[in-house]
Amino acid sequence: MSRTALTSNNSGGAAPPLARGGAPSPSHLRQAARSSGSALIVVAALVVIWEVVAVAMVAAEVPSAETKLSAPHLIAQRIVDEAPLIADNLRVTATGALIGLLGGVVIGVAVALVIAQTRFLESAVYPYIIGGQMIPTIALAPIILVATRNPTLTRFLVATSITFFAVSLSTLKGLKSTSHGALELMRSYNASRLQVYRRLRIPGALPFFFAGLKIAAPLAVVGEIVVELTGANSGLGYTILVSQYYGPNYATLFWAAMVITLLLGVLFYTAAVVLERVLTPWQPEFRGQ
Amino acid sequence: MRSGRSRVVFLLFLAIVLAACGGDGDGDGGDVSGEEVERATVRFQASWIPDCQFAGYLMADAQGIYDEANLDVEILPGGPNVNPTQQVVSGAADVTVNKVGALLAARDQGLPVVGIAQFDRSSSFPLVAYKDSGIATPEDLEGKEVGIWYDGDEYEVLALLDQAGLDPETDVELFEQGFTMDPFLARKYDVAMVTSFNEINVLRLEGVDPDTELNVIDPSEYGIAIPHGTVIANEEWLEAEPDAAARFVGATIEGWQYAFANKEETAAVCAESALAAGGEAATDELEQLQVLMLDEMERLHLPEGFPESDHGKIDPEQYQEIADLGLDFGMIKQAADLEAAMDTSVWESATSGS
Repeated sequence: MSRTALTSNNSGGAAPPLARGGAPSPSHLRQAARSSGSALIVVAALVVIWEVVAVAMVAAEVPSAETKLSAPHLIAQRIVDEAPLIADNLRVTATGALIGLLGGVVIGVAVALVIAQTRFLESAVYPYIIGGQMIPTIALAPIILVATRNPTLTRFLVATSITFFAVSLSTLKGLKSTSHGALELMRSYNASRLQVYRRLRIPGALPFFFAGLKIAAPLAVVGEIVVELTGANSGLGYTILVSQYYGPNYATLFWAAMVITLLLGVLFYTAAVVLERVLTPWQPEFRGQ
Repeated sequence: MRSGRSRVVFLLFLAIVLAACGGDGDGDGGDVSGEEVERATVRFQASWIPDCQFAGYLMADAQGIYDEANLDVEILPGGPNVNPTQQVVSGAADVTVNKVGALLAARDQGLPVVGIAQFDRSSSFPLVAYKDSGIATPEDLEGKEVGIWYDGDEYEVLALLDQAGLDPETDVELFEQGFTMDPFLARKYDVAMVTSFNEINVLRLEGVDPDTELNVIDPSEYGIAIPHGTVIANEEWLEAEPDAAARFVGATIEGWQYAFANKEETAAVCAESALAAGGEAATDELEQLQVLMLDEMERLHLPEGFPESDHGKIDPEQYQEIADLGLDFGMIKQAADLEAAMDTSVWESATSGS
């Protein structure tokens, strides 16, 4: 029984034109290279425009030009000058976001698995989960800090609470979206509940899980920054806060911290994408269909 | 032990050694009673980013002064989203430092906090105006845009306006400004509230010399001052650990004295505390600002003519004046019970040993 036949909900039985194991074809690689190449060109163009505008603002003596929009070359210079400072704070933010994301994933998947068992659990529990998500993070962080009195634990809990919702919602959908035909087939083979989960439901839920992960991953970074803005003394969010307090001299540090945060968010997202590619290579979108 | 006799001798020897050890332990942390001083944990909530505004606390920590006083002090960082009084009320911190007004306002709401020391003698939140705008006194503020901070910082300004016969609602355009000086530097408005220790020095380092280009309207010069530097403790904690509180205040005073005597070293510690480790260049730049900040903190703590032996002492008369002011301007709703709001015995016992 091939996995592809059971789990591809869209292909409806047509034989895939590519290798089953998921090794990308040359045309597929070329396509991927082309699309990332065009993305890079767009980014490069944006940076050039940014540099031109920033330099023009300074030349035109726009007040507080550097604070409003620091030039990319100055930001790069600042990153080089302050490499140890940025590296230390980056490490704090990245570690916090990563641990929070892992927590969110574990709890999110666990909640989804539990709720998927019965309709009753879903309608009973889910409204509270959604209600919990409605608390703005910027209010949640200080509340958790006061309750736990532990800044590290607060980082973890806030990042987890932000990320678990997207993961649990999407994974739940995935668990509920198993094809009926496939389920019937499993039943006809007298497959046990565990076997159905292992062979059918969970692999089938993976694409949905990854959709949620791709949302949750950058959100974990955002959550970390919010925590750092509300009573921490390390991390990129804190650097952003402090560089505002000490005046225009630190404008480039402010921008440098923002740029690094942005790159961190992109890194997290890209990691989720790569993970998806590695763990679910059989998905139709990766097979060029 | 080879024989019964040797065992007895050994035990006797042990007993003598233990008795000798048990007699030690007095004299640590200025404890006058001579008993073993129990180590205590103190969680101090800084009211803002932990830089030289809190130099005394940072240096007492860095120089082991708290350690010598048998205190394990945790300095919690503050910021724009941290309410220091709330942290103390909830028990997340044992003690913080804030304005006298914050203490009185909290007591007015029935919150269990007590003032145990007072470091600043005058206001550290003046208004500054560009000299070429012609604004030099509170009367000149009529019809002008004035950027101020709220959340308890507005009362000095309200009192100044009232003294000048101006109505804050109709005669002056008060608005909330952020905590960056960029709009003021860009001349978006001509009058801004600043802190005398940070923003004024930020302006100085940005090329706007306060001495030649700005007029400073200092509330203290008009007899209206709500100083910062009030050490506010959780009432329950104070009742449970009065000795630890006294040791904390004593060690903090020592920390400030060290900071004022060693400004370069202190500036480096503060810069690192503020920018959380790492970058050489950023902290070098920041140190300049921190030294200026320290100069101002020294002026606030120990103005000319103020006896050094009274460093950190609460002035009940000053508190009464502020309470009256607060009642007039709605900072507090009923007359303050100053007896309950402050505890002068803490400072007394903190400074009696030294």
